Amino acid sequence: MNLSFKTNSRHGYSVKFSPYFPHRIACATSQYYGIAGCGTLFILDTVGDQIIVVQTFDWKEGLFDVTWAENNENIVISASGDGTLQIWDINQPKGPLRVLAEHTKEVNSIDWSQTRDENLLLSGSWDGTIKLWDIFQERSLSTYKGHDNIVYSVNWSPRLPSCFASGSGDQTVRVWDARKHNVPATVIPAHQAEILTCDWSKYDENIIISGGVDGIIRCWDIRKTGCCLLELLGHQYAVRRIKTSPFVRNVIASCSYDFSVRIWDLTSGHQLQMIEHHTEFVYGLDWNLHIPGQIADCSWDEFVRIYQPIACLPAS
Amino acid sequence: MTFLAEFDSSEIEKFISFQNYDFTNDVKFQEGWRSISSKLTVENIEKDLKKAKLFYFRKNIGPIDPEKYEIWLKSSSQTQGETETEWLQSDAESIQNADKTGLANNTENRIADSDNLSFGEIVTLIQAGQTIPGVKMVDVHPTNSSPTPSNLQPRNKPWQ
Repeated sequence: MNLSFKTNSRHGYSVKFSPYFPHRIACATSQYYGIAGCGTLFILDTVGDQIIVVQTFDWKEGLFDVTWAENNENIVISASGDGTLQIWDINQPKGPLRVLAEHTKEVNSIDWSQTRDENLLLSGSWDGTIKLWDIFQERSLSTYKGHDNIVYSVNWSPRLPSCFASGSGDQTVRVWDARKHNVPATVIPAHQAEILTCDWSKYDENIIISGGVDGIIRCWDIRKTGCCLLELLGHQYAVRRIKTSPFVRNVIASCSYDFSVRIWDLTSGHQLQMIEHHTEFVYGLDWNLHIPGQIADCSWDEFVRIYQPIACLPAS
Repeated sequence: MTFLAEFDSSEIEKFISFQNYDFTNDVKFQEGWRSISSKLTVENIEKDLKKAKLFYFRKNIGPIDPEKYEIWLKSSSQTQGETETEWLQSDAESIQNADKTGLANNTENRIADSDNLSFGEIVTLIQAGQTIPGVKMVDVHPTNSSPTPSNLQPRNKPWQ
């Protein structure tokens, strides 16, 4: 399977598979690379060998990230360059149900809690803060300060309740307990460069993987942060997003400003496959939570692609 | 960073193919360059030309790391006959020649029609305080309506 969809005149920033439907993705895009014009959120379905548009939502400024609610299949949230979050209902095209406005600069990253019954949203911003939200309360529940620079990535732990990680332009990954304000449990000086992305292992609660402008991917044990467990070299330019496989313990995917997506094996430290089907920065990347080995990505080249890398075909 | 100082053969091939690329006869590049060069300051025009070439090459031909390219260029220029300045001069001349032939001189129309400006073009327009063509103005507001009720139970994750 190898499907494509063109987000005409919109540059792709983030793509996420629905936690409810194997055939559905949301894709956050921006007109003019996110530096001018509006943003558009696409809800796309795979039908046979085609990708069709289920819904589109326009917002005043560029959209940089998207996350699905885990307690209602109709709700999807986008993060905008104007510092706001938009709560959308895919059956209600008129406008967002709510807009959450507190961040003073671009919101680069949002994530819905992965542990059951928490149903809280995190947002990370260019203003250096992280905020915790209940999407139907107007004000944020908490603000986490500590990063000295842009927060590029916020990620709930898929295993530890109330625990999340953040990656920042201040070259650190921080691990937080959402119940404790402003006290990161752990600070990992993970790169000698801005950190654009991090993700948790879905099978080992102590493992975090970080990626930076230095093009390097590093694996960390949050209990022993003095040195990294593993370093993956190959990307020629900044690593924009890392996603750990939901099905295979030791496999991760990464995408980069070098236009490539790469699949890695953490056991051997080897690159399993490189996918070069974009002609611009690759910003968005996600694994299908229902179909083992299926990936979606999106790029500044205006293409969304859904495919199954050979390296990720399930063993028969 | 140490990795910047080392080049493997595939990188060097890319640098050479960039340097040998026929920008002069690439109509698309020349159109794009003309549309932005009129808005640039004369002092920085050579630097900007190189930036535009690198951007165009990266977007249309293949990946190239501008920082590494600069380092490679400096380290290899002593052994190469053609210096960077000569290279840029010859290119500036070729652009002037292209102008004289009147090749694709309808850049204003092109911008007005096009929704597909390059990153460099957008930056230039913003810096010049000019209106960006095709910008979509969106006027939407929160509806404050209730969400469609959920009909589905959350699924277990593969790792749960």
